[in-house]
Amino acid sequence: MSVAALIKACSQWEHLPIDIEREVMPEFLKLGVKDEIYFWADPKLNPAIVSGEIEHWEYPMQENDPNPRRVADITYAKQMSDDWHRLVCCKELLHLLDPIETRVSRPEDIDKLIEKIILPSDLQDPFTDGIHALTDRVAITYAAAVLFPMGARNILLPHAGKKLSLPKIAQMAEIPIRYAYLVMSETWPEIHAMMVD
Amino acid sequence: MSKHSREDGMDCLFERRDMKLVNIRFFRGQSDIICEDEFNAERAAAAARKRSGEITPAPHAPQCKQAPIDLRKVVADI
Repeated sequence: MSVAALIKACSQWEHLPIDIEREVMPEFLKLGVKDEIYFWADPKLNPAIVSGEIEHWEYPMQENDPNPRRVADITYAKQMSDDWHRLVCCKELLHLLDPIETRVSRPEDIDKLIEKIILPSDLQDPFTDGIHALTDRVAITYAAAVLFPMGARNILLPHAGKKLSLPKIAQMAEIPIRYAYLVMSETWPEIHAMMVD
Repeated sequence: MSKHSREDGMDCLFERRDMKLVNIRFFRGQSDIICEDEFNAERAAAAARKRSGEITPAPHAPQCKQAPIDLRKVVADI
């Protein structure tokens, strides 16, 4: 059960947009994720401060329950545009696949994650910010790979920027334009290869 | 960071005995400068809105606005 396997499966898709519920969720099921997932669109959450979050819980039915009920609450700022809703929710959803060693659940780790995650991009340091902050940031790129699959990119690539503008491509993918730009960039195949290896 | 906003943010995660936090992750907001206090205050306020029933969850992710687009047809028509 890994995010690499999910991205690999999605990379074959040759259409846009990718619907999270109809297309991505079944892939989670195939990977063995059977958690209950709830989406909270919060109209008062300020997207300038917090765009979204996931809280992943276990509810043991009894002490040392080997099969606890697992529930994920994904909250997102409703004030954002629809394309951002999708990106934020997809990114948070992918954290259901986080390996144990990168999960964050202790108060001291949460403090540290927040301390690093709020830094503006020019102050981020992938070498010293730690695995938790790093995996939080990388997950946005994973979400772009899921919502704009390699198969779809490859069909559009010869026409991109000529008769097919980037805003039009972003509109077809229903993702924010900066992530459409990232996927259509020359460096994307290399980034993609690192994600699926 | 003020103790108050930090503790409000933590309380909502650890106050219940019947549930255990497995993982928590964030999508940072788009403001260039964000301080820990306001980040924690936003989170705590969102948790309070969930607890009070002011917002309710949907069992599905935000849906696409468009039907699937056949990209091969799109490029053929260019």
